[in-house]
Amino acid sequence: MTHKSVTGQAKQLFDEVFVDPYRRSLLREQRNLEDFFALLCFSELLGLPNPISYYTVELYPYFYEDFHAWHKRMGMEHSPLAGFPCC
Amino acid sequence: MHPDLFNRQILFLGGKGGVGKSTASAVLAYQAATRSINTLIVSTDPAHSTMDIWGKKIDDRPRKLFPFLSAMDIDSRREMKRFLGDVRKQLLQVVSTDMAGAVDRHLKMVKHTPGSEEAAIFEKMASILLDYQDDYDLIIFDTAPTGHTLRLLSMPALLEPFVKNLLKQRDRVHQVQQGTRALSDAGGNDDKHEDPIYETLMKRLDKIKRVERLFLDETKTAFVPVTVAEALPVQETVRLVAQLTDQGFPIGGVIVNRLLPDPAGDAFWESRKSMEKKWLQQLQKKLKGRYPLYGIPLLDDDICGIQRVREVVPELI
Repeated sequence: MTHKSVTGQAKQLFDEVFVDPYRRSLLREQRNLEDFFALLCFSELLGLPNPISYYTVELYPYFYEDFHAWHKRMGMEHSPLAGFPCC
Repeated sequence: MHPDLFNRQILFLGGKGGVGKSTASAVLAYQAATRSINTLIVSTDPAHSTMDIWGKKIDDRPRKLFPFLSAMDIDSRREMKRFLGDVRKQLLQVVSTDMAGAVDRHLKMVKHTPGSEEAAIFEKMASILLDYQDDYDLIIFDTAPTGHTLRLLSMPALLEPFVKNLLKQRDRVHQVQQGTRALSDAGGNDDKHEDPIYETLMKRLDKIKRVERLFLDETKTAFVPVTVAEALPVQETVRLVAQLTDQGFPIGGVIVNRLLPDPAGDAFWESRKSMEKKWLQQLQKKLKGRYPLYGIPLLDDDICGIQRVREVVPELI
């Protein structure tokens, strides 16, 4: 076994044991935060008062893809919001 | 006559429905214009009384009525239509074509969400303040009745924490994104300033803050309640002043409209006149004499058209 492959294997092991779980938890955290952000923006569609819905509406075009991913992740095949222009 | 009022750059006239806010705005604007103060009068009242007073059509762009005097109005429906129309155009670019109906249904719902109308008016008011401030020496807002005005003025206080919170949350998304990107060596750009959502919110926050700063600056802005010397309007004025000062808005004085002429011995008018006097004293007392009161006399005819507006000279009471 060459010196190079030993360090390579060590790095792989290191990644598997430490980096990957960390990355996974970071990704989960990122998704949670994105979902929470979406919830804040779309709250009026869920019947929660949102005093700035007039302003968040201008974010919708940027939000479209995120929204689609969001309701899929929430376990809803189609958009749960009657009237929201998604699938 | 109103040395203090005309020192400001922005005046808000408000008060109970029917007390003569538009008349008072017209009279003030005319008085300012005769002093070569370049004045813009902005009506936010859906009743469009301003148009009736000047006898000229007024729309969403300043229109010159006389030398040193221009007028425009804010129509919440027109503003919502324009704003939501822009959003619609952008949305139709990203959603599939068979979703156009859903886009329209959704935007219609937003239009009818409570608060949207105030937001539309506030948005336009903010643009006028920031865009025309340098073009005019004085901008007079003739606002809708009290409740409306209070909600409108408290928009920054309502919007700011919400937008700030959204920005904070968005910031956290970016921070974690940065972490995941670093670990997966994916490269890419995670600069939050290239995130259109972050940038749009930042622009909003900036505008809200600039307008709030103007609202609260007593060297530039004054709120001038309009009233008549009768029981209900006086009580409402006292409450309005309390609520405005509570929120830190500077008060420039109070305009008392339709002051009665000398009753000349007639018993009925003597009685009305003594009532008027009583309510004027009440007003002074309740406001602890802190603000100047300006009186506009009752005329034998409506104050309509430039001929009548010209005749009316408000006097310090």
